[in-house]
Amino acid sequence: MSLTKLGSELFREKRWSVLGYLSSGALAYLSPGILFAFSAYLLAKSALKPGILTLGVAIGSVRFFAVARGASLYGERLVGHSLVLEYAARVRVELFRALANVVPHRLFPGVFAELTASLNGDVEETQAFLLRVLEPLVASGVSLVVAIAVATSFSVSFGVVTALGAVVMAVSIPLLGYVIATRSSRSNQSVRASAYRSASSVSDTFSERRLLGSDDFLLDRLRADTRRFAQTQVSIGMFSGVVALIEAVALVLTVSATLYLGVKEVASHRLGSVYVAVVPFLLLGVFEGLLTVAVELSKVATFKVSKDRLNSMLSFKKRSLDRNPSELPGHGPVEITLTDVTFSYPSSEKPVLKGVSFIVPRGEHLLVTGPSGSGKSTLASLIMGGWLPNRGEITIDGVPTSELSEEEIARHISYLGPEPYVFEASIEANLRIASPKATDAELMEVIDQVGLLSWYLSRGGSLGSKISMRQNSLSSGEMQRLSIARVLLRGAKTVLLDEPTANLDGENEKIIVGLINDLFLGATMVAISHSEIFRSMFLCDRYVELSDGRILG
Amino acid sequence: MQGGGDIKAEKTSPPLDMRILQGGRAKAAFVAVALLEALQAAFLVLSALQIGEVFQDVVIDHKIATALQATWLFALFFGLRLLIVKAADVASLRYGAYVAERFRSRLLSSAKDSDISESELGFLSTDGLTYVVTYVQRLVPSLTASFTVTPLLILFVFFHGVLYFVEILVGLAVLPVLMIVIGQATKDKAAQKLEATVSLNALYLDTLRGVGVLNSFNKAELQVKSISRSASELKKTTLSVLQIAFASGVALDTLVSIVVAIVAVSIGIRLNDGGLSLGAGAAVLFVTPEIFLPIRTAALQFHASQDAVAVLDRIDSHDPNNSLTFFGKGSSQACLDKLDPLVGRVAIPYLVFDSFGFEVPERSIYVDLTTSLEIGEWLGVTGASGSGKTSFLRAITGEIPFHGRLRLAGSDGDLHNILQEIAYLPSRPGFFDGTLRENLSLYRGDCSEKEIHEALELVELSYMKFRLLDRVLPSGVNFSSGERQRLALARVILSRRSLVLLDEPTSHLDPKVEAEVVRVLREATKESVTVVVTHSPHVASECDQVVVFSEGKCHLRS
Repeated sequence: MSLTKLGSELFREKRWSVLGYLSSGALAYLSPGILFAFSAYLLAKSALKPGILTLGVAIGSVRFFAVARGASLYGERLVGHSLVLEYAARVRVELFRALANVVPHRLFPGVFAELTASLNGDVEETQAFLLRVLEPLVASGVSLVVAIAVATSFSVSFGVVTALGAVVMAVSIPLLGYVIATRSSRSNQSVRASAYRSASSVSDTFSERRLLGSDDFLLDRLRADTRRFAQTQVSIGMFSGVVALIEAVALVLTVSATLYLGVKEVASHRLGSVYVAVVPFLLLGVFEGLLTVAVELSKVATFKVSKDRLNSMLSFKKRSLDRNPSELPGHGPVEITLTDVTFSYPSSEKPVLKGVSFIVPRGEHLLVTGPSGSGKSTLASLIMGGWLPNRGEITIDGVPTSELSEEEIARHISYLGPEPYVFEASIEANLRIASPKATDAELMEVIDQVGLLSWYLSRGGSLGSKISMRQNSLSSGEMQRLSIARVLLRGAKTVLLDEPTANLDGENEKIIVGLINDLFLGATMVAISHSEIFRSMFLCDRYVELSDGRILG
Repeated sequence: MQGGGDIKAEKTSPPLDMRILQGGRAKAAFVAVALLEALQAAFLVLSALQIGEVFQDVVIDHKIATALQATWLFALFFGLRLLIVKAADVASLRYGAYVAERFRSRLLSSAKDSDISESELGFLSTDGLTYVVTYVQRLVPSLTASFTVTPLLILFVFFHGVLYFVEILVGLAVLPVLMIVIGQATKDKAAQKLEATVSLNALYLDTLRGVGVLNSFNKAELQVKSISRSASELKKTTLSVLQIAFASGVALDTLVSIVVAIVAVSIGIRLNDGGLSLGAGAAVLFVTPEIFLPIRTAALQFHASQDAVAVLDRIDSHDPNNSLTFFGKGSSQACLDKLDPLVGRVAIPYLVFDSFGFEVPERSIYVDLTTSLEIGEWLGVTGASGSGKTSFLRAITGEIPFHGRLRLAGSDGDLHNILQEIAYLPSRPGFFDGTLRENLSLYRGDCSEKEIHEALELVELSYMKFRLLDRVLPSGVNFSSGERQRLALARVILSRRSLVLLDEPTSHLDPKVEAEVVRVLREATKESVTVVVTHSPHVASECDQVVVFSEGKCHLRS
């Protein structure tokens, strides 16, 4: 899926709306010119004291165009925004789908955080491009063609001058503006990125930075970066100003040239004197719309960067399967085996796991320990099917993970990672992610089981209470308990725990380990942890220690 | 939620936010733009007269030579006029940059002391302020033109005939009435819808951030439907606001077009009667749309200005001089007395808590502590999660207000100076975009290579010695959480500050390493006093005194 593909899909479905949008846009660009030209004609005609009928028609037309201008403007904006918002909505849905393909087992949390941070701005950048650059260019292009045709119908020389003016104003100058804007916007992008990085440095180190006193170099850096950003912005503004100025000069020259030609044509009796101002006034109206388009072209460069980022996100795919995915028979606990598994991430040559083999028989509990960086979390991603081993094989109930989809694996193995997430929603909704059909009583039971009952009561004792990470409704320990509650609620038969107690304190950690021991008694379990308490309390049948990607002993 | 909406609805912002007139050069710039606008109006009148001349010469008098001359003059005057318009635009751009610069320095000085989120700080200091520049750049020319160009042109029309004058005045009078009616209709609805839009947007981002959890439960695809629903809801609410905004813009536009049409028609009728020369009529027609243009543009900007005004409000709200939410001004500083003379005692207490405490009413925590620590001593802080342990540290750094007294020997008791004696290791240590070396020497820029190597060895990160010039990504994402914790420990060791605050220093460490690290830390903090929040029994057993937090209170255990 890409932005272009989504766009052409939308166009196919809403062809008439798109055409309506563009034609009302063209009308909106044309109508002030027509209104102006008609008024000029009316004046000249009136001065010659015509019959009342001619005057009446002229008066009616002027009013008609006044209203038509309003209507087409309204139509253009409304239909345009409706289309573009629809497009943005579809892009958002597809982005969610694409990210769902790679999170959490294939994308590093840091990368994910960076992507979601830029996402909203990128979608908005796309909307601005469609509304303020693409459509105005197309619509003013159409209105220019009409203007050239009208001018030519009066005299060929009018047509030539108009076409010349149109090429200069709608093509040459905007192109010049675009080239300048692209260059300065590109440097603007890097300055902006560096300002954002400085801002994140400043707020990330808030606790430490407050203690720095007067030599707060991070703040100084942010100050310098944002100043540089502002300066680039101003110089982009100046460039746009220059472009707009050249546009204005071209406008004056074209309009004056047609006026001059008009006078000449009247003098040589090739044109009725009442038409002398029709073409110049038409152009005055039509070209005025173009003045803003050239300035908006600086947006193209920023849009390009956003477009590339969105397209790269949209291209995220699930791990591909060579053939039709197999299904795991049964619903009970599974057996997991690793045979001589060696793995390195696509971007690096250094193997993270080297020849790892072990077996977790059905219903048994395996503990994996090892220092940080020994490959424990990578092991979890591999078991969940996010990646395939470079060498060796991982099987679940005898079926290699290469033949299983990630969904199928997730259906049988419940994963609990180190970073809990709480949605900005009710307690109930946060739990029912695991089991939509769970009854209130079941929800209460798991809340009690993970030791969240007193927290629940302090939240007003209602399942409908809103909670969120932003408002610190839960401590990090409470958040992880909620995640564990989700796994419990799901009635998982096989559980993969990746540092599940990293955020819990000693007392709570003991309770949780106890619960895991009690509640997942018959389940197959792989627990990854380096916590001493976890290691000493977790009832395991087998024990594996990883060091630098190998199993020790 | 209701509150936010109400505030927006009550506030009827004037078309010109007075804050952009603050500062010495701002007023001068405003006047300069106004003068340029008046000048361009004069040239507009001159070019209108030339257009009229062309008409008169060609259609009525058949004087081609004069008509051609008038054409040249028209080109000259009209060109000059556009030149001046663009000059006014550039002047406004500079003016906008000046206003933005003032607000930028205000924002950055508040960023020093208040905890602004990274996305907000990043946005406000860059794109947010660009909104402000754009706002000034677009609003000021049209606004100044409304009270220079418009009267001038009306005067011009007046000389040509009272009838058009009246017609245009009626149009001008209807304009504000129309704006008020539309404004009234927009106000409440826009505020409501804005709120809905913001919350729907947040919902989308929230779902997206939690996509990992949804995926683990195979619920991501199910959520597509609700994402799709919220996205189309977003579309619907945005559109309904836009409908009004566009309708008002278009109503203004149509009104202007109709007034122009009426003027054109009445000129036509008078020409037909022979009551007016064609030249004069054409000149009046030429200037009529321009009379309304500034007001129309200003009115359109009025709708678009909300973003910029929101940015200014936001920056104001972060300014500690404007709000009392943060420490320093009202609360903590007042609590910090001058240091008592502590001479003459046998053991000099280094850090004294004198009825020191703080409150977290929503968690019913009320803490009150009196004790003193000597140099080299450790104070352990334990208790269940959520019992107030971390708040205790935040009270010491003045991040939340406290009562009682906190005294540190050697400092003069001023909170600002105490802060410079503190080295703090938060449970999520902060890292910034820079080299590893810069990150390690955060507190003390003049650390020697040797000191850094020693500190890295102490926290068992010897292999980092060769990576000191490596770049650290924002938030330190290119290091594992264990490495980050140890790097932050090394940073504290390198700080050589006299009050060390540690929040769960060993939670990401392997147990074997923990004992070693605690030993090292005790060694490294011989010259300081240390307050350590921990749940590790081992760390607690190493402390000289332990404060236990439970059920909203704390008690001391030696």
